[in-house]
Amino acid sequence: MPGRSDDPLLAGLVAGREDALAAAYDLFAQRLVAAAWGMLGSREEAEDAVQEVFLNLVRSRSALADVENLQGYLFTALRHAAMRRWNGRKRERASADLGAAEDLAAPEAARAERSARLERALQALPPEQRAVVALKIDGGLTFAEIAAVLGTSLSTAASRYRYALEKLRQRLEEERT
Amino acid sequence: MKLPDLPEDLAALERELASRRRPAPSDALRQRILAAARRELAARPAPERRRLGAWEFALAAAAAFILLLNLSISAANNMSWRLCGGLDREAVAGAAEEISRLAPDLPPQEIRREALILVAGSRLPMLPQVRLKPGAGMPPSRQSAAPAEDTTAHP
Repeated sequence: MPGRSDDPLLAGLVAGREDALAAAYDLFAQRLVAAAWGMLGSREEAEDAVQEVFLNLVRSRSALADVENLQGYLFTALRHAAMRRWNGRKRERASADLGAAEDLAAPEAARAERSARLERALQALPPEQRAVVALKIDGGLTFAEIAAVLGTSLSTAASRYRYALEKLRQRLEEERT
Repeated sequence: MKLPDLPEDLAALERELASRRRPAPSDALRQRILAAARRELAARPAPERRRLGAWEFALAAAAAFILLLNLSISAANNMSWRLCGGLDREAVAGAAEEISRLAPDLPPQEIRREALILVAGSRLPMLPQVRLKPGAGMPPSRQSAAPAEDTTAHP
């Protein structure tokens, strides 16, 4: 399959141009950090994961010539980076950085509490389900894009998302009662 | 593919998830990433994609052609691909015994090596003896130096 050599951004990344990397960062960093935060529950870890993704982009730039979809490539790399971190910590701190989540929602106490509960429930989900929710809600990907990132079918991605939401609702109800 | 709509409670949960505040990348992250990338680029310049030259391509094509030619000739001649059926252990042991009897001073490793060579050599196909006429196939300068052979002895 031919690469997207006609894409100036990809061509710049393949050539190792710093301005191309800066452009890619400006284009994707916000969504990548948000999705990584959704997956990892920690802003610090999310930023580390995103940094790892961009550094790997530089390191393996010669392989980018064959990349068809830069966004899909970046989110797939992000998921792998998140996976490595999940495996590293082995759920040791499922509710990590909830303080930061609470800080974000600090202006309204009730909302902050609800937000913290939501984050706790989200971080208690199995990694694969958490990844689907993070990619959909925080990364803003479509189910087709999520399926490509996860290497599953579209229906699997959609049903995994639905199961995740059901489990999330169940956990929130359990916590409420 | 049309995906089924979410029930209202899950849709509400989805909206709630979407409305929660997410962290934006910190100001330092951009600088951090670009600085790390700069270091990486300085340390490891882009490896150039090596393209096959015309001569290399021609050589590779010729090698592939010769290989295919050989395979097809072998196939056409019903060649047996069992190149070596394995050595006869008994024959090797017998040969080793004979060698050790004839040369008892040889170390066992050398006896085994000699036995293996002997047995392997005994399995080689016989080649026809080829006798050339005096001077045939040799450069003119060496023709005079070539020993004369009696071709009448081997018709």
